[in-house]
Amino acid sequence: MKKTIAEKQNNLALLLLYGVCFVTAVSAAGFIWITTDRILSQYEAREFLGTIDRIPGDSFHVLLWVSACMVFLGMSFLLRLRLKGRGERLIFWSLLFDFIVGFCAVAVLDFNYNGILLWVFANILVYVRKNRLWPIITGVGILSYTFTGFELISIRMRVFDIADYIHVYGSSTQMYLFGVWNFLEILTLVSFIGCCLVIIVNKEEELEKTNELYAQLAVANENLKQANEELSDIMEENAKMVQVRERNRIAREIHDTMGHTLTGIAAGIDACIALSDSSPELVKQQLRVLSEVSRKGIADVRHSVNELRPDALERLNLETAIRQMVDNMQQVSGTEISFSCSVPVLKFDEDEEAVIYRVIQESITNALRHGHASKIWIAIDRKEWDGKLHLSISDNGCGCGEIKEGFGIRHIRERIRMLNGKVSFASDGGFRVEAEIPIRWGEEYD
Amino acid sequence: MAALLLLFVTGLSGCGKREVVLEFAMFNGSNWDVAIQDSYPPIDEAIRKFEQQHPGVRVHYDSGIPKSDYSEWLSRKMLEGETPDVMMILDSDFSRFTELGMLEDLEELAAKDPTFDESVYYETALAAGRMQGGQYALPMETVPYLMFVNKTLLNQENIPIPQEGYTFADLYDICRKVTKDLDGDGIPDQFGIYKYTWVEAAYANGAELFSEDGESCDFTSRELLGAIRFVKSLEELNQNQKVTQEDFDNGRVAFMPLSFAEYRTYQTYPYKIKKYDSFQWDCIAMPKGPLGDNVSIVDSLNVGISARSSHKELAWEFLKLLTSDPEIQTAVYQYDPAASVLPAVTESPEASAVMSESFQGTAPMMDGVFISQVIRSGKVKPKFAAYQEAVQLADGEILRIYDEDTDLENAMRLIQRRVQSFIQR
Repeated sequence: MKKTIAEKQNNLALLLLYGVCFVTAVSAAGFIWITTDRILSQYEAREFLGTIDRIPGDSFHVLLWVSACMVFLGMSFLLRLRLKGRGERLIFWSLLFDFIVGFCAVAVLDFNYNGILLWVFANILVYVRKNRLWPIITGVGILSYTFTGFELISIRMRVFDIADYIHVYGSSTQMYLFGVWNFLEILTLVSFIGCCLVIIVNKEEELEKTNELYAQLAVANENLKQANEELSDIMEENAKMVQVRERNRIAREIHDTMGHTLTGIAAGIDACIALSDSSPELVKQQLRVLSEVSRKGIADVRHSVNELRPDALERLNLETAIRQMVDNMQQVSGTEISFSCSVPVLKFDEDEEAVIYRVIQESITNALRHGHASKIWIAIDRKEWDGKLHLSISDNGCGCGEIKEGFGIRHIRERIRMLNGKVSFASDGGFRVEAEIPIRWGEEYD
Repeated sequence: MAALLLLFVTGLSGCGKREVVLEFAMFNGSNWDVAIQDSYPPIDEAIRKFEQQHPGVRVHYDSGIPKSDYSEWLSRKMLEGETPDVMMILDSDFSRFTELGMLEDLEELAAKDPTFDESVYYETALAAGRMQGGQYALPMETVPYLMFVNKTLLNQENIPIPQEGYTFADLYDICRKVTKDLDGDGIPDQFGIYKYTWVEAAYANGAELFSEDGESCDFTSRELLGAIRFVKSLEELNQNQKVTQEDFDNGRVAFMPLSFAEYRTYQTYPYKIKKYDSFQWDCIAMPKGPLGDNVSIVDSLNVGISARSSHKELAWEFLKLLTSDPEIQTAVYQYDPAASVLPAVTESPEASAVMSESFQGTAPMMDGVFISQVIRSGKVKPKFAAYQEAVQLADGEILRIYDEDTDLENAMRLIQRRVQSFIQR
């Protein structure tokens, strides 16, 4: 886990306090040891015993114990640094361990230095998350610090006094030693207060940050709610759109299949009427074709009803389907329809094929119905320069002065737009439909 | 961590298997500032007996530490954290070490031990190890102060030796009679008494100078004033002549307080210093003041247990053996010219035999029952660290009173204030 700045600051402050405690405790014990040695070497033991209240057992053992306690405290601090944020139970036990070890160190030093307890409480403050525990911990901390103070303890108990050891030295050295000792004691207090300040300020900041995050979360929640409402509106609208689109599609299918077939039949019947006098044989032949067309029309309608999908395309590939449609229309209407294709294989995605087929079908229907054309040219090719499929259907019919967008033309436009293509209509002696379709060319198509 | 723990546990179990060594601290020579041949045999005897009774226990002591170095030596041991389990304690150290908490209060050990009976000791000897309501040491030897009498001188003057229960007045009377100018130079050269101070007189007159805890003093009591007046009157007999040890050695002084140890040393072969063979002498109890009794000061050699000892039970057993075993106490009696702390030993035929063995004829054989009586009726000096200095301070002031002849009661009130402020400091 990445350490936050607050954690780094807390740890730095704790480390400083630990350093001060370590130096003070160990140097106090070391001083007692060195001074005892001096007393012994100068044969002043009895004189010294006459001036003091109590002696520590073995001053070297005191030094060892105090050092060991301080090292244990340091190790437990490192453990907590490693655990950071995890293992709350372990942190609790390590803090309890600190309290006991700290108290031992203070007791071994005969309460001459109880700054070690400050270190323990600074640690506890860092790890206590529940604010309501603060007053209790602070209370316990202040009480234990006060009641382990040397002045109070020495009233009730026999304890050795580091001042007695300082008095062993000459008066100028004494002044210096007292100065150092007082400085270290004050330094401990100052470091502790500094440490507390850092911890408290960081806690405040943490709190502020949390509040800020809460506020942000509330805003985000509000936004989400609104977005949800909007989404459900859109969904509803979409559903309506789909319905509308589906209706349009059905309408288009009916128009495409029925309209086309009926137009063909009507043209065929017209032809039959024209031929009925001259060539009954041809009429018969024509009627047979019409019969076939009308059956196919029925099949188309059925299919549209079922699948709303062109039948020819389903059974045949696009080119065959187009050629069949062209043959049928030629036979039915007697119009000459030429079809040229420069694309080697007409095999595209289903929606593209459907659009191409329908556009051609619609254009032929229009040419026959409105243009009364005798010739229709259909061309499909791919232009290298834009990679699009160009579809062009033109006829030699009467065209029209002003292009009026009927149901057919609108559908052509809509279909082409569905594929992001462009379509233009022109009428200059005949009618011309030009469409560009950005085909999604697969490799196999090339 | 685990390795450390393992080391610790192995260390502990290793300790358990090894023999227990009980450290004993003693000094060489007599506690009573008299020359003795050897102070180790009774201790060695005690150790042999103790080790026999407690297999697996060894008692170790450092030999060759003179009494003059002993206090420093023991203090060093304490500072080094190596306080001996059982130790002899000099009178000048006893209260300090007790205050420092270095000595174990023996009450608890005694209470747990059904074989311990404190009534086997002289009560006075036990009192020497008592302080602040606790028993911090047991006595190993005890020495009362007696009045040394120059029998030859008294015989010459046709004065009988004072009888039991003699008083200040009797003593004064004798002193007045014997103080004489023998060579006719107008200056007295035969004296009544030497080395008798207001302190001895105060005890004999029932004065209590200090409270038991050493917190307060009383230098204005009737008993003390009487004692000081009495000593002053004795001094005045000498007509400003300073009585010296030489006068006494030459048999020209009738009385001198003397410790029982000095008495035994000077009358016992082979350490007899033939100082006093020019005259016959004897010892009697101290005189009795009008408000007191025939009270002597009784000193004891204390032995205590370290409060930091890890073998307190064993230390207690050894201490008990040293102080209350009749066999060991008899051995102590043989080697050190003090009285045994056990009345049973002091009054025993064996003790008398020890004395008579070296009887030289210049002094009568000391009667154990008489010594016992002196010890029983004796008093111990108060036990607090500032006692010695407080008495010295008062002594200096009182000597000035003798010289300057000032008003005694006023002067004593002044001394009272000074000593009181000193002991409170």
